[in-house]
Order: sequence, then C-alpha cells, then structure tokens
Amino acid sequence: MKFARFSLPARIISYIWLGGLAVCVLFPIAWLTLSVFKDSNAIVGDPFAFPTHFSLDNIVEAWQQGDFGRLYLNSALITIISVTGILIIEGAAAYAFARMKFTGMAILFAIFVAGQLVPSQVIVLPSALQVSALGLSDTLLALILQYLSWAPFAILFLRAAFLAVPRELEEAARIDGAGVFTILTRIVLPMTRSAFATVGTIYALWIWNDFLFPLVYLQSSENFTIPLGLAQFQGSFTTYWGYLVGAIFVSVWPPLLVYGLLNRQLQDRLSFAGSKG
Amino acid sequence: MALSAPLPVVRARRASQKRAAARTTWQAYALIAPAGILYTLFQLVPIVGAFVLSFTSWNGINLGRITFTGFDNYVRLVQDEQFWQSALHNVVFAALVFVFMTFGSFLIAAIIHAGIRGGAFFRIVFFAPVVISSVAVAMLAIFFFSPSQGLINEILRTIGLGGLAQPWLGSNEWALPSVAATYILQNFGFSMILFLSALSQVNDEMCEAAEVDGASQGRILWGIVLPSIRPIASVVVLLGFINSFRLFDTVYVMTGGGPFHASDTIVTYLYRTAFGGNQVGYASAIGVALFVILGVIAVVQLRLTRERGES
Repeated sequence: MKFARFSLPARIISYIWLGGLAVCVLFPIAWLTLSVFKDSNAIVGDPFAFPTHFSLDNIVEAWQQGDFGRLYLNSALITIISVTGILIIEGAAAYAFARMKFTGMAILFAIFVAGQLVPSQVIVLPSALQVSALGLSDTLLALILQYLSWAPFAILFLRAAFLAVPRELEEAARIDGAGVFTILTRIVLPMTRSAFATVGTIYALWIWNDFLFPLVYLQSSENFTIPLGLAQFQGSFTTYWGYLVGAIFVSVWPPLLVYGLLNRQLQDRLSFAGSKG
Repeated sequence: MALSAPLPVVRARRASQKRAAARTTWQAYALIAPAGILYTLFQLVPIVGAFVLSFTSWNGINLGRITFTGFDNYVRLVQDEQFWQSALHNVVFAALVFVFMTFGSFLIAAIIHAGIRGGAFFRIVFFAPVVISSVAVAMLAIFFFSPSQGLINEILRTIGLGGLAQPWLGSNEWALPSVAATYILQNFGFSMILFLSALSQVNDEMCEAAEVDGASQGRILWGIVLPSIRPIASVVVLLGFINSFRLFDTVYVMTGGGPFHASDTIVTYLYRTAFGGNQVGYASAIGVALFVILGVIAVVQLRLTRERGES
C-alpha cells in the first residue's frame, strides 16, 4: 500500500483523523503541564488561559502532601525486586522446560500455561484473605510475592526464546568441556538477551501501573505505590484542584520522560512480544 | 558371534546415561521449583479458594461463621439483575472497544504503514498514554468530563455548541461511553503497534502486483493485507474482548460504577460486593462467573480463527 495512491478524500480524511487523535492525546498532557503552574482558582475559572506567573506551589504541595518521595521509593523497590526475581525464577523454569526431559514435564507446563487464562481479578479476593492469613497484609513483601507468581507469560515467552537457540551450539560447548554454568553465561543468555529485555519491560509496566493488588493488599499510606497514592488524592482534595493537578503531574511526567528517551526500543520490544503472545 | 548380552562397555554407558537422565530430572525439578512453589501458593491456591468460597456464605472476617450453602450463590447470581446489568455494560464496552479501538487502530496502523507524512510522530504520540498509569489517565479525564467546570463542556460552549453540554460522568447514558472513550484513547496505541509490527511482515510484492493490476487501495487492504495478518489480528481482537471484561481501574476511578450502577462492570460489582458488602462467598461466585465468561470467549475466538484458517 502507498499513501500517495490513496484517493484524495481518503488522504484528507486520514490527515484529519490522525491529526485529531494526536490533538486528543497531546492536549490533555499540554493542559496538565500548563495548569500545574496556576493556582486552583485559575485552573477552574479560566482553564484555557496561559499561566500568568509560573508557580511551583502545586507540584511542591502535591509532592509533600502525597509523600511522593515515599511512593516513588515503594514503586521502584517493588518493581525492581519483582522484575529481577521474575527474570531469574521464571527464566530458570523456562530453561528447564525448553532444554530438559523429565517426568511430568507436559503436565507441569500445561498447568503453568493454563494460568494465562485466569484473570487476576478472579483471584484478588481469595488472595487478599490468604495474605492476611499468612500475616502479610499491608506489606510490600505480599505484593512482591504476588508479582513473582505471575509466571505464565514469562515462562511461555522465555521458553520460546530458549528453544530458538540452536541445540548444536550448546552440545559443541559441552563436548569442549564447558560446564552448565559456562554454557548458560557464555552462550544461552547472550543469545536470549533481547527476550529477557522484552519480558522485563512488559512486567515493569504491568507492575509499576498495577492498581488492583495494592488496593486490596495495602492499608497504611507509608506502603502505598504511585497509582494507589495518587488515587487517594481524588477523595481528599476534590475541592482543591491545584493539588490534584500537581499529583497527576508528578505521577505522569517521569514515566513519559523515560518513554521519550526509550520510545523506539520500548515499542519494538512490546510489538515483538505481542506478535508472539 | 551372537551378542545376546550387551558388552560390558555398552552396559556401563547405558547405566551412565540413565544416571545422567536422573540427574537432569533432578536439575529440572530444582530449576522449576521456585517458580512452581510461588505459582502454586499465590495463583493456584487462590483459584481453588475462589471456587470453594463460591459455595459458601461468609463475611470474610470471622472464620468460625463460614457456612456451606451449596449452589445458593449461583442461584442468586442467575437472578441478580445488577450482575446482568454489569455484564451487559461489559458487552457494550467490548463492542465500543472492538469498533473504535481494535478496528480503528488497524486502519490507523495501515495508514501509517502506507507512509502518511508524520507517521513516526503519530506512532510516538499514540503510544505515549500506554506507559502512563490508568489511574492517572482516569483522574485527568475527570477534569475534562466534569459537568460545571469540565473542559469538554467549556469547549462546547466556546464553539457555540453549549446545547450538547452534558453532565457526562453523572448521566445515566453518558457515564459508560465517557469511560470507554478514556480507556480507548489511552490504549489504542498498544493495538496499533501490534498491527504495525504485523504489517511490516506483509509481502509487499503481492500488494505491488495487485496495484499494477489496477486494484484499489481499499481492495488491497481487504483482500491481501488483512488476510495475511490474520493471526495477529485475532490476537488483538481477543485481547480487546478479554480486557473489556476485566475492566476495573478506569471505571473505579472515574465513576466508581455510578451513577446508580449506570457504569458498573463485573469487576467493580465484584469489588464492591466483596469489600463494601463483605459478601465474600457471593463475590467469589461472581469471580468464577467472570472466569467462565473469559474461558468461553477464548474458546469461541480460537474456534473461529481456526475454522477460517482452514477454509
């Protein structure tokens, strides 16, 4: 297909449609970014006006009221520990499924894959009860354990990546006297690096943005993650829109900046994953 | 010379192979064990728990007051108008997502792939909201849909269409479409890049040959491009349906299911029943129903794609 060969009306409609959508996406972000410098009255009273003076009050107030330093620390800790753990634990299992023959392999694999069909919304209630029975309610550990058990996608995806490594390479290394560890670190892992990066990226997004499990697991605000801490603002500052805008601003821009820096890799990885999933 | 018994060397090698096999088996179990234990504890146990609890009546607090009630919860579920209303909202939502998000993002991907000017820019912009948390997007959307001070009504009034101004999230008819619009605007970029990656693998020569034969761009899109990306298209369609039925964050933040349940979905209803109403048994039955619905969607979708693929 060539855009130049589209009929004239089709080309005009395409530009209007995509341009309009781009405005729909960019305008809220631009509005947020400008409004954050205005006081509450100006945000509500004259929402489209350019800020007359640039005040950082909303950002500073929201950061302090919401304890965003703590929220970022919690979210970062949970995401880093969980994603690292997932790559190691699920990677090890995926390697066994890809390369070893053992009794019960087919059944074990089927059980892992079946989990892909169970939405987290179904297990959230019994799992909240379980977490409190284990004495883990209101802890970051409970969240990390939950995320570490999100195995199906990682195992499916990493197993496929391991299967794509030619067996002969590993066997040749073994004949040359290389041990399991050497084969893993010198041959297998370098060849599957991009698959690990993909899985890491996807899980980081899922975990960073997860709202449901923090909502049911956590009670005290010093344990909150960013989505949960942000949601608290909605109830407590409904009348003071400046804080709300400030809170949204500080939750939205850091991920957007990371995306701005890495957008190409991110898109390639995710679309690659989607085509396999 | 008859070799009725294996030579000692062969026997020794077989024994060592057996030992090696046993060793790999143990190595394999050791490698799978951490994943298996965590998965069993925090996924399988809760799943079984959901099934078991769905046959009980329990407030979720006092373990001594848990009673088995057989199929009572399911009988209630079948007769529960509020559940069916919520499920219907999921169906409406899924239809909106299919038309505007799945199909829409296919066309958008095709336009970008065909080489519209600024394609790289559109790609980056459309995908940006995907990386933001759905809570933040939903909260930002509240500013736009708010009735008196909301930006959408403000814009409508400014351009002289004040008659179209609505209480959006506070209105029975518009609450769900407003949530859907927010959700779609945030997530269509993800479907778009899945389609784009599929389109980049389409055989260009076939398209060119068809162009030489005088086929219109529309015919090429339907006749050549769509059939050749069918596997990914079916994945994107399935994802759209499944996510429509799992919908929670956006609704919870924007409307909480209101006004008067006008935007309730299965999961917001489940959440309220469990944590607001303390009806753990009944909420578990709702969860099991959701599981069954998703299973049916996946199976139907799989059948449909398979049949089409064979014909």
